[in-house]
Amino acid sequence: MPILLRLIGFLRPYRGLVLITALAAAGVMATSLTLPYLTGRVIDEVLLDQREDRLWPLVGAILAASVARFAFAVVRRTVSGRVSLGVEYDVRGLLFGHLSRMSLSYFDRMSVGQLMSRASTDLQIVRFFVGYGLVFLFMNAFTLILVTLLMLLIDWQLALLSLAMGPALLTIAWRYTRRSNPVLLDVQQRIGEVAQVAEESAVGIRVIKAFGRESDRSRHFGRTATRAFDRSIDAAHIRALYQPAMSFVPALGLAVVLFVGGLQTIDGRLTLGEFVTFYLYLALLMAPFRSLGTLVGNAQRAIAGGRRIFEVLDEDPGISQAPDAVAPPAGSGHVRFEGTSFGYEGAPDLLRSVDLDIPAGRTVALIGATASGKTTLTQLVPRFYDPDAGRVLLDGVDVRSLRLDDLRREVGIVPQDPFLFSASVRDNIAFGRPDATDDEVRGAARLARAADFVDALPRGFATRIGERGFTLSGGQRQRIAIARAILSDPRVLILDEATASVDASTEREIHDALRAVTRDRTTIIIAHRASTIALADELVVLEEGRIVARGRHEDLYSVNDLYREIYDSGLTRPDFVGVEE
Amino acid sequence: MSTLARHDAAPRPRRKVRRLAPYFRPYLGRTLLTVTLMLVITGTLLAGPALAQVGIDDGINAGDKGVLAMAVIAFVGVGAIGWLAGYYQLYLSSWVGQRVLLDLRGDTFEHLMGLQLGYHERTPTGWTVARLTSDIEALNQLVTDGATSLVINGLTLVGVIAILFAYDPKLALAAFLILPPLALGTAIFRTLSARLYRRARERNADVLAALQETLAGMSVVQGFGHEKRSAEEFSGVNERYRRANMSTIRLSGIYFPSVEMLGGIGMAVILYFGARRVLDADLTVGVMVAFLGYMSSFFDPIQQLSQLYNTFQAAMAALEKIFGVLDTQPELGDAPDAAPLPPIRGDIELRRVTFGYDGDAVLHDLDLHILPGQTVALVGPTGAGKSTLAKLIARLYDPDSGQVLVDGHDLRDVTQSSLRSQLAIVPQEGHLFAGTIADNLTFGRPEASESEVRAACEAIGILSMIESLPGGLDAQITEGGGGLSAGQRQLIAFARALVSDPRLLILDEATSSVDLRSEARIESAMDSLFAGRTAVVIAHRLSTIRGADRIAVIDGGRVVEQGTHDELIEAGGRYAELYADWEALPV
Repeated sequence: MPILLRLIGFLRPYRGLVLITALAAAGVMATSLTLPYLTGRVIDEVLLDQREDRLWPLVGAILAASVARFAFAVVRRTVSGRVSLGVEYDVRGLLFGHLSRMSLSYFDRMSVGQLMSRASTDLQIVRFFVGYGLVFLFMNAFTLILVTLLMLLIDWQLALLSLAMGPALLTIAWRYTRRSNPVLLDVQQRIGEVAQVAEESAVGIRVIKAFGRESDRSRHFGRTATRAFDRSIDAAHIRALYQPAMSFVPALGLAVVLFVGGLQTIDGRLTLGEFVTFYLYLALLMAPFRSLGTLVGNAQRAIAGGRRIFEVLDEDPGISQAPDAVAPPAGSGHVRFEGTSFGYEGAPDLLRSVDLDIPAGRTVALIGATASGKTTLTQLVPRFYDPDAGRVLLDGVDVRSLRLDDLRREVGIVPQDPFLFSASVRDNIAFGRPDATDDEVRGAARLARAADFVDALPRGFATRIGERGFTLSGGQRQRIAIARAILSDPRVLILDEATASVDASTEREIHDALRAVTRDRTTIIIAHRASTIALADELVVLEEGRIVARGRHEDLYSVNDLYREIYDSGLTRPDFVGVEE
Repeated sequence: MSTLARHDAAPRPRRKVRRLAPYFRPYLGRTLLTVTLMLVITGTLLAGPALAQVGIDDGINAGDKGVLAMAVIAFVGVGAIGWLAGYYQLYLSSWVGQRVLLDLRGDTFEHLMGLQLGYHERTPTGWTVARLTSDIEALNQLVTDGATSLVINGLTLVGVIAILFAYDPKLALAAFLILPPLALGTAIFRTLSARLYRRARERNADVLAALQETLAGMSVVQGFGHEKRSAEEFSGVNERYRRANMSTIRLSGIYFPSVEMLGGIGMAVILYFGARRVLDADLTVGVMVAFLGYMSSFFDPIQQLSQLYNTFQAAMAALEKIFGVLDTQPELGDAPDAAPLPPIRGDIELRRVTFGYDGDAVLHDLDLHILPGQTVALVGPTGAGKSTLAKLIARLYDPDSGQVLVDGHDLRDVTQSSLRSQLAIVPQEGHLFAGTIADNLTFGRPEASESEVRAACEAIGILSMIESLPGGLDAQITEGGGGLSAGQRQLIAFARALVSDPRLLILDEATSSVDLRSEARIESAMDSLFAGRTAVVIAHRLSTIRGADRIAVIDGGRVVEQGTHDELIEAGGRYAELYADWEALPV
């Protein structure tokens, strides 16, 4: 069971604490076991032998044992709690770190919801098992062995007789787990489906309302929830079949002791004290036997959860820094693609042996139909993806040999749909350079023509934006993103339809800013608009992953059919007016 | 965020539980049966030590094997009854609990669907989803195990006290000397744990929010080489959660062992006083042993109930948020006497419409009349209120004052379903649902035939694209339309609107992400797409705007000009200004 071992491996940093937990747990069990023993002594020595002087010491011993058990239990609970939280903290940190190194293609495949459930629900299950479950397993095993020994010492025949219920109980617990686990996993699955329908209905509420399909959607949700209900009832039925039975079998064991032990006591082969001790020990054994099923179930769920977590942790980041990675060489942003080919997993090649040289400081516009590979080509520069063949050079060095964060600091991107974080405007603009001064932030905002509307926000640059804050329009978000990219002063700037949701009036304003920021910087522009393309020194036309033409507008228009077609069918003019959210 | 703040106010748990009662009413019979079975189970649990006492005193000590045998048989019999009752009780209580949750979940969903768009625009998606998922799960823990545990453990406590006093009031009184410290300790535990657990829950929510946001914005995080700093920030959030949770562990790490210790002390007390009285022949050994047995069945429930308290708290917090949703009144319900809207001819009139979000007026006293069959383009700068106007026509909002009329019917007097079934909006974000492409295309009119679907796709020019997918129209797409480009999603959303064959079509930036060739194709097909329908188009490209029958220029929340392109240029007003702006841009 390698996954189990790997889960236990999470405990390695806590070896000392785990040892303390185990010792404390052993202490708890040992002191617990003295209580029935002392009770039996009270009955035999004090009551049967009529020695009242023995009462105080024995009762005193019971009090002492209770206090000792308290101390052990406090240590056991606190320390194992610390360990379990430590494991959760560590693994969550590991997941986070690993995910933030993953190549973007991973996130194309995995939904955020999936990853979230691994870092929360699955991790919780693992945490409880590694932190507590293992301790309980240990405690139960310890109790089981010790109590069996003690009972054998008192009366081995009675012990064997009463322990006969052990295997029966184990069998039931085992069968219970075997039957209920697949059903429980299924229930989890169905609940996941309910969550999915809930999520997509919340996201798609506009569409639902626009088409008036609310009641349809409610029925669909109801059906999904009912499927989860049906499976939960199946699980409840299995539980109802087994759990009360698991309480009944121990009672049978008790009855046997009561009867056979009672007969022996009457016949004088067993003292009353021994009999009561025996009875109390057996009662002590019930809990471990009964919880075995639950523990095995928890272990299985933890293994399932662990498997899902390791699936993430074991995934090759796809893009990682070479061990001998160096800082980018001095240069001012010479970008070169050499025979670069790339295709998304399971899809035909999107880029086919692209050769493109962009001298430092040059502004190049990429033009082509949707899915011609423009965005993908630019994403190879900051290594969001690595090419399948060929290479990408920054100032003469293959980007794969550069230190990743240095490389990415040198490449600024303003994406089509800019993502802003739930943080202040200032923090969003300074995202790439948190050490920037307020003046620098304001300067970048001014260049991106964002300063005016930011100042008009309720708290200016300190206004919180994003999902849990103030809502900005598409054009406003775009300008914040431009400011963000400008502030980190990259060698290479990529504008991916950066002005798509900005109207003609605003674009005219940004235009000057863009011209200023692109002047001394290598810039790759993806645009459908002539006004943006007008910023470029050179146009590159992509079709089906190949460069089919490059040159200035005047050169291309007369010779290249594709460019002429694109140009004539709408490229000539920017958007007439703005779009609102 | 005022709605969120309102939800966080903390009212009484009792009131919330009472509000849950109507959900149990349909299953009253089963609920009562469950409670009865719980009584039986508690009885069987309490009978054990008493039977053992009879066995010891009247059987073993008296040397009467017959009584011993009877006691043992009764012991087994009671156990068997407990087994049977346990089976039915577990099944029934799970059934009732799950059923109630199913109903509650369904009601909450339906209610959410009925809430106006404004609510959903104010409320983060994650918040809404949590009501239907994690909150219901929190309640699930309470109803499956919690309720049973609450009743049985509560009854056991009362039962034990009663039995012990019935056995021997003096010894019982001595044993229950430990009650005052226990009660005090438990009260302190409850107060502290409510606070500490709430904090731990909040910190946990912070962890999830931070995680979600970073995952969603991963390209930005990586693009700015921000991984290390993000990881540092995250470990801060993670650490705060760990600390908050550690304080709950420290609290229960002291409380539960203390309860155990009090149990040990109680045992010592019973043995001390009990043994002396047995020696004085004032008490039998069996009663003393029974006392010991009951003592442990007294402390078990206390531990379990204390553990339950956190589950209960979490469930109450969840219930609170769910009721917060159910208490939000839909502002746009159908009027009681709402009539279905007859087939739309397409005459739309906005009369002196004023509307604003949260008090900030977006439209002022706006008048607009669109004739049947006309295509009207709404033009104006960002924030002028074009999309808002379109939403008012679809009655996604009601005007603050004034009227929106379709064929002379005020929209507030007609049923929403009759309006929406004749109207389609193609929004900027073409959201697609998980399912097949065909499911998505027939979303607005599930009964549409395949040939109608194909015709709509052909008109939009996406039929060949769809047919190239594995499975064609039956190709599965994931939620949000993963695997399709933004433009392709928008085109499918466009086709979806056409399949629903609306009398009234509203295009809100419907082609903003579509590449130029596709857009040109749609524009050339526009005449036939719009034939016989009234259409309201919000567009940002001049070519689309120019093709409309009429252009309405919206600025500052009013219609400032109307007319054809040439008329408006001629007039030299706001439109001409916009046009000049546009023309001034470099080519």
